[in-house]
Parts: sequence; C-alpha cells; structure tokens
Amino acid sequence: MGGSTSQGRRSGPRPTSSGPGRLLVLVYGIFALSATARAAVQIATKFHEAPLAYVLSALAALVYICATVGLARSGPGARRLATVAVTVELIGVLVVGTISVARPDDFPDATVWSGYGEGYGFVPLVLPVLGLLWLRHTRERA
Amino acid sequence: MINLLAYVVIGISLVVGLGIIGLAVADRRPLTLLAYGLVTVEAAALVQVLVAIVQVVRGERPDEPATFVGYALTSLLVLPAGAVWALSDKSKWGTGAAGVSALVLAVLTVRMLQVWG
Repeated sequence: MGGSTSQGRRSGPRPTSSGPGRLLVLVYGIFALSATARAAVQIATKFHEAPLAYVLSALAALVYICATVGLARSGPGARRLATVAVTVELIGVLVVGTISVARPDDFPDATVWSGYGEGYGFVPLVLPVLGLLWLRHTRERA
Repeated sequence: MINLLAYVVIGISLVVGLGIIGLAVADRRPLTLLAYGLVTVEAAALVQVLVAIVQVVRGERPDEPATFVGYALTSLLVLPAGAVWALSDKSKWGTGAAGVSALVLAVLTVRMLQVWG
C-alpha cells in the first residue's frame, strides 16, 4: 500500500503526511471533496444566480485539492505546492470572509469561505493556520 | 429518507467515531475492535442509501436531487477511503483520523436529511 517512507531518519524536512499530518490531510481531503462537489452542483445547476460566489467556490475547491495533494505527498515540490495552496487558502478565507460580512449583497449564495467559514464550523478559518504551523514544524531538522 | 433511520445512523457514527477518538487519546489501537466499529458504521450508511434508492424507485424525490446523489455517494465512500488512509499511519493520530472519518458520516447524514426535504 502506501508505505514508501524514505531512507530512515536523516536530518531534513519530515514528511507532512505522518503523525498529526495524517489527520490534517484527512480533513483537507474532506474539504477538497465537499468543496469540489458543491462547486460542481452550483455551477451546473444555477450558475447565473450568483456567478461570483460560484467561481469562488470552484477556486476554493482547487485550493483545497492542491493543499491535500501537497500535504499528502513528500518532497520539495509537494511542500512548495502545499505552502502556496495553504497561504492562498488563508488569504482567501480572510478576504472572502471580510467581503461577505461587509457587503452581503455580493454573496447571495454561500461559499465555503463566507463569514470566515461559519457554515462549516469555522474549520476553514482554523485549517490554514494549522496547515502553515504544521508545514513550519515539519521543516525543522529532526 | 426515513428520519428515524437517519437518526440511528447519526447515533452509530457519533458513538463509533467518538469511541475511536477516545481510544486514540488513550494511545490504544485494538484493530479488531476498530474494524467492527468501522464496518458497523459503513453498514449503516449502506442501509440508508439502499432505503433512499427504494424510496426513489417508488416515486419519492429529494428536494435537491443532484446534491442528494452527491452526498449519498460520498456517504458510502468517505469511511472506507478515510479509514484506509488514516490507519496506514501507525501513530495515535492515524487512529484518531479513522474516528474523524466516522464522524463525517454523521455530518453527511444531517446534510442528506436537509436536501431530501
């Protein structure tokens, strides 16, 4: 199955998918799946109702997919992908959250990031912070 | 959907999910017990989807059909996929992640009830 750990405990970045990372990747995967499904249904069935919100839903879905893949895989490329995706995610939830609170008329239908992710128990706000902390933690030499 | 059945599914998911998380916190990993728990949750999810299929065949329709089908498929896949991913890590975090994947079924079932109408 998936037991391809690299040669023992060299000093260097640790894999982001083991230990607490296993849970983090699971949660990211769930968000990737649900954001993708939600955006697909919104765009397929009622795109004209709220184009901006649905394009943002699709963007959020892409960000979650990139973060999941980046955190689940090992290596410098994956780490870079995860860092970029999680950073975009944090900016996205803060910007979209703020706009959706300040100008609710622009968001007739909710995205994952509306109201700082209140529709998802604020997990979308906490997740990128945990993601960045975890990336930093695993970067330190063991 | 049948409300009572949905509540049973939610109850089983919560009990098994929180139970597994409790075992993880205690740093225990009884694989046979975990397997029984996870299979029970998956069986409950399967029964729920089969009942919904029977209802649709009999002419009932969810309020939001596309969304419901998405949730129904996800409710069958999330636990096996999540548990395999989670348990392939031998730490307590892996065990805990398996518990979380059971809890997700409770959330999905709530959403399925909402979009069924």
